[in-house]
Amino acid sequence: MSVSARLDGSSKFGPDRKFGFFPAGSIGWMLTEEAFMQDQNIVQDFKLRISYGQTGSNSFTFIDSSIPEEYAHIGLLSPIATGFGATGIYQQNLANADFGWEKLDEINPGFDIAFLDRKINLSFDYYKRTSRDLILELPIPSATGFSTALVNKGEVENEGVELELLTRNYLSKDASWTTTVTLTHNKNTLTNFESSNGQISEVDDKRPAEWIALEGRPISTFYGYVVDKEIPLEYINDPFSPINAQSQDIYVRDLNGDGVIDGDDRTILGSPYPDLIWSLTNNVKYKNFEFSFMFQGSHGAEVRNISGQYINNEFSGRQDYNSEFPDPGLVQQRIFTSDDIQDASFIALRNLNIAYNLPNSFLIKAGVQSARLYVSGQNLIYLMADDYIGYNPEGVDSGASKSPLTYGYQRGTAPIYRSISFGINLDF
Amino acid sequence: MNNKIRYIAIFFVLISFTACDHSILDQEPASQIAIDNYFNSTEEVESAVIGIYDAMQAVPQREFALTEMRSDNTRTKNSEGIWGEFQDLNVSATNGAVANYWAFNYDVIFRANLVLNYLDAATNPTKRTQFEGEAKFGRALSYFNLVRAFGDVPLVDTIIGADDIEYFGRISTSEVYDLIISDLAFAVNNLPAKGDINFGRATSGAAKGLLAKVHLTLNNYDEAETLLEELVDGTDYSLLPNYRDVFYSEGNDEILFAIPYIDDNANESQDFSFEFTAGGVRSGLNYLTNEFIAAIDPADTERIPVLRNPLNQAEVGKFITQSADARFCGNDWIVLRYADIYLMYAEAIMAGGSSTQTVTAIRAYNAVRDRVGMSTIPEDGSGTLTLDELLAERRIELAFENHRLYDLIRLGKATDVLSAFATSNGYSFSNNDLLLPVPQREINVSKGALSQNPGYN
Repeated sequence: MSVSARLDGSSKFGPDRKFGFFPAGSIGWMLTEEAFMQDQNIVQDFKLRISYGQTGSNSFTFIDSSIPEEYAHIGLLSPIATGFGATGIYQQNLANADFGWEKLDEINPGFDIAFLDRKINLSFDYYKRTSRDLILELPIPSATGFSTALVNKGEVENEGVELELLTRNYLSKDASWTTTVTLTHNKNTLTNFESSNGQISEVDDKRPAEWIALEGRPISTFYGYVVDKEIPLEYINDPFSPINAQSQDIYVRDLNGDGVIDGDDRTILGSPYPDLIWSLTNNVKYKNFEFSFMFQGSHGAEVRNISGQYINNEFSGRQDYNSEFPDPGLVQQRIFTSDDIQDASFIALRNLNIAYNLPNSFLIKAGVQSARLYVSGQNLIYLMADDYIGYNPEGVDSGASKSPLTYGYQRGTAPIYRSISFGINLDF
Repeated sequence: MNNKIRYIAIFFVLISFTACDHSILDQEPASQIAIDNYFNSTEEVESAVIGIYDAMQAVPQREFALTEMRSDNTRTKNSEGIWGEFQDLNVSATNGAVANYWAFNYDVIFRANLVLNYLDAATNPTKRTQFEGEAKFGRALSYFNLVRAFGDVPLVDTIIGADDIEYFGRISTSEVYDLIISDLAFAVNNLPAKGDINFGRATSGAAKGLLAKVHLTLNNYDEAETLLEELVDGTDYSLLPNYRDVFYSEGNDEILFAIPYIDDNANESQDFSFEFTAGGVRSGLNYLTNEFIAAIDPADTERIPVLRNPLNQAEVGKFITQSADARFCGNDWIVLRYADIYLMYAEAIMAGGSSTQTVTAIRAYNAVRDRVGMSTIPEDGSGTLTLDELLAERRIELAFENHRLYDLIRLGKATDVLSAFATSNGYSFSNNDLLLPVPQREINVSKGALSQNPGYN
């Protein structure tokens, strides 16, 4: 059992909000040490445990990187040089004297069990993390003179389970084989967003695809129009220039059936958070040989992938509809539609390693302490979802992801690469 | 049981308080200034006035797309993306250039309201009045930009916060114009004249000319004529002998108000000049339309090399950069100049009619024509100046200075001219296109207070 508490202060926060008090504690019960467990030899270790803790976060960076975080609650003025012979100033951010800690409550019960001579080891965790007073740069009307306001707002729950199973399948003097399986399931829910419930955010002014923050849904939820059908090629200016080009616009559904396509026809299109993440690792040793591999997978996440804008030349004027097109009011640009919301699931053979340690007898003659030959590969198998267009379903744009309101945006991320390496390690 | 607890509980209590000097956390930033205690002197208020001009520098950057490219004057080279939307008269509510234009103008307005809010800190009474005039001039110019582009817009005349929802909705254009007129009237009466203040800052002449344009837009011809007559009869401004010098000899006597930029300066340069060229990032914006080229009189030899880039006849010949770095251009943006004043004067005298024989109007029109050696109308009372002639002259003389669309609208010609233009180019025009869409981004964050203009989705 352990108990701790801390009092943290930060200059980033307002005069009455500088300090946060964060207690934590945990308790564990090793059942296998109890008398009633002494008369059996099936279960070697069995531990029940639960922890609870509160932590505070003061970690964030302004989307505008020219504003320092150290005094975030203060409205800062920045000098500007001009040709007018006087120095100017402008206000960089809105002051918020009530700006304070983001708080995280976490409760985490679980157990660890080892049985059959510790050949099978299982860890199970359930957790519920509740973030309160989220630090957010909320988009606000430009009529204020600012595009965002730094606030504490909202409550998000992350609830999930984690399971880790390690088995020692075989063990002898010459050989061993172990297997590890991990499974994680997490559910992200915005449980309270006060007056900002339904807040729509976008990434940038050039590609203003939308996210919605709606209570009962993940905090980052893709928002937009549902694709109906493609524009017939006869209405596209130059449909085959180049080959594989694709129109910028696409028919979308009139969800409320009022005959016009407008903002009321937008809906929820998906979430960037996976339902299941797993891995499977095997390690085998036989005499001087070593062999290991790891599979990883993620399922149920979507990504807002605008790579098609570039891969399929969607932005080109040649892909615009021509003046004969009868339905300009029924289409939207793809970046606002379900067309760019793509399944980010993948299964990867993340790595595979084969190694051979040369026998000592051979080495001593050559004057070498140890020598190892190996070959290893990364991503030798990589399976992506059928509707994913691009080269890296795991890639998420770092700029857009600065804000928790616009997570899961992908634009020209570096591809997943496959690599194979051979090597020799020699120690003299 | 006790035994059990002894086994179970390995009991640690660890409470660590780090002794902490609170004042460490209450420091003021060393390299930056906090707004709370800043305004204590005339100089400090003036620094916020300079901030207004700094914000103004953003406004013209893509204004040409929202004005000239929506008229029959210019187009894009490639019709691509959000830029093609302007020329096609098919602007979407998500168009980023529109969202920026909205935000840039409200930034000017915010900075002007900041000055007005802290005005009392300026202890020098003359300066204080001047600062108030400059702030009101800047605020009025941006509201005039907004109201012509969007129609009804949020009207903010004080410092507001993120939750002041009562300011987020749209206010009728007539109320917005009331504020513009009262701001500019104050500026006319209280700003220094040209020459008594640095070039680039607002003057009483600039305010007078802008207020006249506002009155013309509202068909208040008498008020406009009175103001314009004072400018035409005054001695502060003159038409330069050489048309080219208006654009390439900066700070000249023809300029009533310009937004200055400096060559090769990351903070004080513009890049609209760059985007006007084939080398621009958007590969050629604000290109001349065939209709504009056809409207140039071949005899107009002094203006042609200034209207069309001699190195690429499809490009605009005004505002060609001389900077070393093509992206950091120093050409000033001309907001208001004397030729515009002359032509507005003739327009005010015409007072909504289709022609005038008034000699003062004809003389003003002739002054602009005569400067470039073009034919004039007799000033002996026998001549007639028609509205079409006046509009045609404005189109050529003031081309690419972002006047054309608002001239067409103000003079009641927009529907005829733009629907014919759209038909011959395969665009579709309706009167709804005369206002831009309210940016979707602003509607999204307005908590329901903002509505869209008709015809946009």
